[in-house]
Amino acid sequence: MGRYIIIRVFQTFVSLIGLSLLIFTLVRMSGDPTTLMQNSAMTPQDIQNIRESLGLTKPYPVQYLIYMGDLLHGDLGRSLVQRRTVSSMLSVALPNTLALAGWGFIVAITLSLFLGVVAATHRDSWLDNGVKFLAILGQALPSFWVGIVFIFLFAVKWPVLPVSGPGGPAHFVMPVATLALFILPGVLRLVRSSMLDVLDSEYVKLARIKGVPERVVIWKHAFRNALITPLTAAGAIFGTLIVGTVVLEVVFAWPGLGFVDITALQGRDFPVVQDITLLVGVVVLLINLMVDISYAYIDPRIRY
Amino acid sequence: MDPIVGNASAWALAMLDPLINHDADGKYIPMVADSWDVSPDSLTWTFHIHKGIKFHNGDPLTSADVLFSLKHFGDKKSTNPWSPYVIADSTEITTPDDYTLVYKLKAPELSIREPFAQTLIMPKKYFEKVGEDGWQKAPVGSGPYKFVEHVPKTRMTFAANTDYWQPYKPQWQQVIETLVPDESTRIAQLERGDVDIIGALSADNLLALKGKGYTLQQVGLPGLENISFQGTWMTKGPTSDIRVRQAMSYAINRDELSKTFYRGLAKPGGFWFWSQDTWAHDVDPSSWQLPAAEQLKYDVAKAKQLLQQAGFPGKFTPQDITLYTPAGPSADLMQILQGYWQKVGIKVNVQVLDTAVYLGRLFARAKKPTDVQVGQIFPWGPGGPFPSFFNNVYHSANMFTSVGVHTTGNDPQADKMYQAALHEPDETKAKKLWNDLMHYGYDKMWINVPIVDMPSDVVLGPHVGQFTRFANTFLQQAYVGITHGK
Repeated sequence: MGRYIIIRVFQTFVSLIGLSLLIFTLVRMSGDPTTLMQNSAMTPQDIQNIRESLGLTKPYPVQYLIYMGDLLHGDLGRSLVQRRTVSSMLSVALPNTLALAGWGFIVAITLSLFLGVVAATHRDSWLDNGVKFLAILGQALPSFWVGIVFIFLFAVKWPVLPVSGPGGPAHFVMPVATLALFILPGVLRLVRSSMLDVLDSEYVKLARIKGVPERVVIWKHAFRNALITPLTAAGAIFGTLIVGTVVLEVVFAWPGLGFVDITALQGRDFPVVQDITLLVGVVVLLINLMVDISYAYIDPRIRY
Repeated sequence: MDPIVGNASAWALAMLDPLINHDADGKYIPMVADSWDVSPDSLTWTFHIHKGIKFHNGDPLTSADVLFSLKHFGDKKSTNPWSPYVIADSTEITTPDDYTLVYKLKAPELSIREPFAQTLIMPKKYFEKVGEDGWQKAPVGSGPYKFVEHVPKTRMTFAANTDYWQPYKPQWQQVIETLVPDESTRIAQLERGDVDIIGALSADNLLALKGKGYTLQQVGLPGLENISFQGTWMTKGPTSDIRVRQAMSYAINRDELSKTFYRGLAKPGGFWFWSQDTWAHDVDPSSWQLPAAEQLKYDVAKAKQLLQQAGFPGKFTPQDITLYTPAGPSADLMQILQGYWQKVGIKVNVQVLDTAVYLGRLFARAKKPTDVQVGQIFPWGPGGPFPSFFNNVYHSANMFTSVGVHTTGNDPQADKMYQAALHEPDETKAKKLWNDLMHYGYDKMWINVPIVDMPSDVVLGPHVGQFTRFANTFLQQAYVGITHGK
């Protein structure tokens, strides 16, 4: 298992370097950020001075090394548009996103696991059909619409919850419910189908023949083995949630990373775009690493 | 919060005072400067600074702060569109004493009053002590509201400056601006009573809220919706022929647009600084009527006739007309215009661009016909009101001459007329010269197609009373004059 972890960590590191190179290149291909910083009094020399002050006149490899060197020293650079450090922007946005994504994820996964198992163990019953209907609803309804309907119902029609913005626990209810409804269907369906496969396997049948109580068969024997596929999907989903909550952030005026990223993209504020994209990449890679390690724990056959 | 940082400077308007100000008619009135004298040769402007103004941290406001603010605002790294004029046109700025500032110009330039009115006075000592980062965290001004808290992308909180030096005082103890990007959410907040003022709403929602008893309040002057033929009019391609540009104008049914797309809130207009509802109209109210009547005319037969005379499209190479627009309401409008144009036989390819790319092209200065900008036409959305006649003088350069930010022209006559209007020291004569330039631009060049004037309305909740102070640009300017509702 130790060798497996070392190899996966090394692979993650290589992926990170590749990712940073890709982001660095793509952001620079998107255009010259000084275009938006020019005014009519500037001479070509002034514009050149701006480029020099931002280090844009240096060869790309040098720019990349400076960028990576700064990153290693914890310097994320400054926003070209807002004239503040990127770290100060992320220090506000990241916790907001993590809180929203984290709670949405926890609620969705918990419900998916429970409902998926319930549906699989009551196949074709009204319970199973009800869960499938919920999954279809979650897949069919766009998040922004669900969010707006929630706001209309629970903040305006029956004003029991705040309309928007981060704050106390009540502020989390609608965005988390909306997010959970978005995540739920995919994972729920995976849990259900995975459970159905496992419940149909020989060892489960044997356990039942041996008279093992149904509760133990389901939750101890079947459930653990049915987890691999949903776990992989869940890992990938959480990674995308870091910026994937942008629609909800807009509807619920939730100042998270996705919202900052979209604004930065529109303003060609490439230090911000670069850092957020890299941050998301790091989170996704780390989650994948953790998922892979947890595979090895769940399934002892997985080794290098 | 730093006046040199593009739109973020809107917040500064609540906290900082300008050197001079506008009244509701667009006239310049005293503010931090009690008065100003102009030398007979119009080259030396002497400002007399009001005594007794204190910044929020207790420091007195002196001419040193004004000098610092002018230089800071005029810094080349500024993205505020007014900054270039503040320093570029001066030869020397001095402070003979604590309450006098002398500003010397290279050439007479009456319009320089507008950059003065846009210059917000910052405390030199405090800014130099805390630096740019410190300022962003805790800005200090002398205005009606003090900074309390800024949570990026979330909210900005101001507290009333009860010691404000002007006779009028802020009436709300606290003003909190929240960033709520979604229109439906903003409406929900208003209806629930969480907020008192919301803005940036579609015509449908403005009317719906009005129907529910909410008050619509216009902030500033109307936005001008129009199309400009950047760079293209002077080069090859269909829009290089004035008859094609005229046909595109005659093809638009502005009355229909105003009644349907704008739900009756807008009205035909949108002239580049030459509409009845902007301060430019005081130049000569009768003079714009004629071009206005012609430029706003809907005449399909005439459009087709002009196209035929121009040999459209066969005569032109390339034959395509491409229009660039940012996403959002502007793109919706452009698709409607596309339909009008198609009706008279003009096929326009509308390309919706990412905002950054759009702005990049909008601000790229075309130097020669082969530059990248050539072949494009741009829509100008209701991007905000225009503060004064003298603002319009500067901005005329952008539309009609070869020296503006969005350079479109290569017409030596237009350049000459602009320079004459800009540097004429006599106000009456200057307005006449500018009026001549406008006529030349609309009658002879026809590179700006007006569409509609669109009021910039916000919606008020029941707790909000009257807006007693004029806001020419941003809502923040009105804060000090907002009264409580019944």
